[in-house]
Order: sequence, then C-alpha cells, then structure tokens
Amino acid sequence: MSRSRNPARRRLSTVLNREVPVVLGLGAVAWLAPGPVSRLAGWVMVGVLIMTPITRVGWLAVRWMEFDRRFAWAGWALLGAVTTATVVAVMLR
Amino acid sequence: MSSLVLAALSFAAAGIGALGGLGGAVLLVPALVVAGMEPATAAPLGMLTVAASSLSASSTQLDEDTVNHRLGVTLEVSASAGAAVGALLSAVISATVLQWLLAVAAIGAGIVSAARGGSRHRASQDSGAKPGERRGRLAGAYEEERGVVEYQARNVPAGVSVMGAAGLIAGMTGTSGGFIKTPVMTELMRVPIKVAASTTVFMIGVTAASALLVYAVQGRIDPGAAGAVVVGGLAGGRAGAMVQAHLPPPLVRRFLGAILVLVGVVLLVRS
Repeated sequence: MSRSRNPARRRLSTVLNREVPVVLGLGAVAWLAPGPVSRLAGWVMVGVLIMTPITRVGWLAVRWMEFDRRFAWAGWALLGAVTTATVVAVMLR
Repeated sequence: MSSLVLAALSFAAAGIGALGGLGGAVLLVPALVVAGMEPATAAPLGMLTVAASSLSASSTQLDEDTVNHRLGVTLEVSASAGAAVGALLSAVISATVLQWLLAVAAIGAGIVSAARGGSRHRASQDSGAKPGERRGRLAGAYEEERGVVEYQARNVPAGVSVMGAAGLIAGMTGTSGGFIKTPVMTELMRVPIKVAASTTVFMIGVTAASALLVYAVQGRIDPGAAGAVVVGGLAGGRAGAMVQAHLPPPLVRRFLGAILVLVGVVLLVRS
C-alpha cells in the first residue's frame, strides 16, 4: 500500500497502527485475567479507545490554528461538545 | 451472558459487518438483545466495538489519503452532541422504545447496505491536483488507478443537521450511525464514496468516544465484558476483511442487508 505524501498524516498513521496490538493485548488481559488485573486492563483499554479520537481532534485543532483557523474552531467546538456532555453526565449521576 | 459467548458474537458480528463494509455494532447490539441482554447494557458494548474498529481501520485510510479531517470535524460537532444526548437518554427511556429504535436502525442499515450504488465521480489523469484536503474548504482530491478524483462537499448545513440525528440514534442504540453518515455524505453532500467511508470511520471513533465517556460516568461499562467484545470485534473485523477480498461485493451487501432486515424484524416482533 502506498503511504500518504503528507508527513503529518504518515506520523499519525504510524501511531494509530501501533495502538491496535496494544488495545488487542489489553482486551485479552481484561477478558482472560483474574479480577483486579482484568479490571485495570479493561479500564486502560477503554481509556485508550476514548482518548485516541479525542487526542486526534485536539492535535488537528492545534495544527489548524496556524493556518486554518475556521476549522480549528470547529475542532475546539467538537471538544467542547464532548466535554460538556461528560460534565452533564457527571452532574446527572 | 458468558464472556466467551460475548466474544464469539462480537467476532461473528464484526466479521459479517466487515464483509459488507458496515462495521459490527449494528449487528452485534441487536444480536445481544435478541440473546436476552437489556438494550441499555448492550449499547456500551456495541460502542466499544465501534471505537475499536475505527482505530483498526484508521491507519490504512490515512495512508490512502481518503479521509477528510475538515469535513469529519465539521460534521462531527453535531453528531457527537447528538451521541452524548442519546447516551444520556438511553439510561432513562424504556427497553421497548430502545428495541424499536434498534429494529429501525437495523432495517435501515440493511436497506442502505443492499441498495448502495457505485461512484458518480470520475478520475482525471491530467487535472494536476495534489491528493489531500484543501485548506479553508470542505474539498480535496485522492488518487486511484485511473487518475486523481477531485471533490467539493455541497449542502453542508443540511449535512450537519442530519448528522445530529445520526449521532442521537447512535448514542441511544450503541451502534455507530455509520450507515446514516456515509449515505448522507455521498447522496446529500456529493462526496465520493471512498472519502465518505473513510471520513465516516474517523467520525464514528469520535462519536464512540463521546458516548463511551457518558456510559463510563453512568457506570455502565463492564471492563471484563469490554475486553471480550473488543478482542472478538478486532479479530472478526480482520477475518471479515480477508474473506471480503474473495467475494463479489454486490452479493455480500445483499446478504448482509437481508441479515440486518431479519434481525430488525425479530426485534420488532419481540418488542
């Protein structure tokens, strides 16, 4: 498969590609290991799955602030929506 | 339900879903409900497989330069807000209503899968356009064998509105909503299918993160079960993608469409 000509995309692709076996390993431990180890591995896996797309949007927003502000603000608005939803969920708990 | 059964169901759903390019959650969540799990318990498990499959497919699509981040972020603002509201609502609305929604989602996905058409965009060998996104615009280009395909998203406000509804359904049911997002981009916004599918994969990862945060705060995620469905989903998705290369796509899409409609009808009858 040919790789993107954009170096930033290539770096992002490498990071995401390396995360897949990590998530798979954590999932296997969460599934098969006993009690506390299973819980820890499961929560770390869930954390990785949640934080990966959020970090990706944050990284895009920071990059776009330099040369594409309109879309940078869209990125910040998206992170704001996710944060607001979490805060509302905590308050309704 | 034992974790082995969860992993096996997740493997089968992701494998069959990958055959038709739909992802596994739209099949997994109805299957879990038909197997006796409460819809509100099945939704977080479905959303975990959505997040895992989005992560698994992302690097290939970045390498192919088909994902348009500007388009994805713009549309995802309303989709993620909708997903979070849906996740909050799913804890309080009745199981019967959730089953109805799931049934409608499964039947809708089945019809979309069976009816999906080919590309209307033509490649040009002498356009000179560079593959990638365009700064300041919802436009771009990507390379394929016959040349470079250029595109420009249209009807953006309408697309943003429909994405909010797609996110709401995703958050309530625990499915990705991708079966709505991709057709909206291709049919309403006139984005090529390859770009729409890749951008949807990026978007559903963010939708899943948003909904999973709400589910986690609500204490609805079981880490052991999460491990089983993620392992089954990742393995099934990979196996399905390998088998898909050897089968005719229209046949696979119709087969998947028929399964989804069947699951939807079973859910409607049960509820």
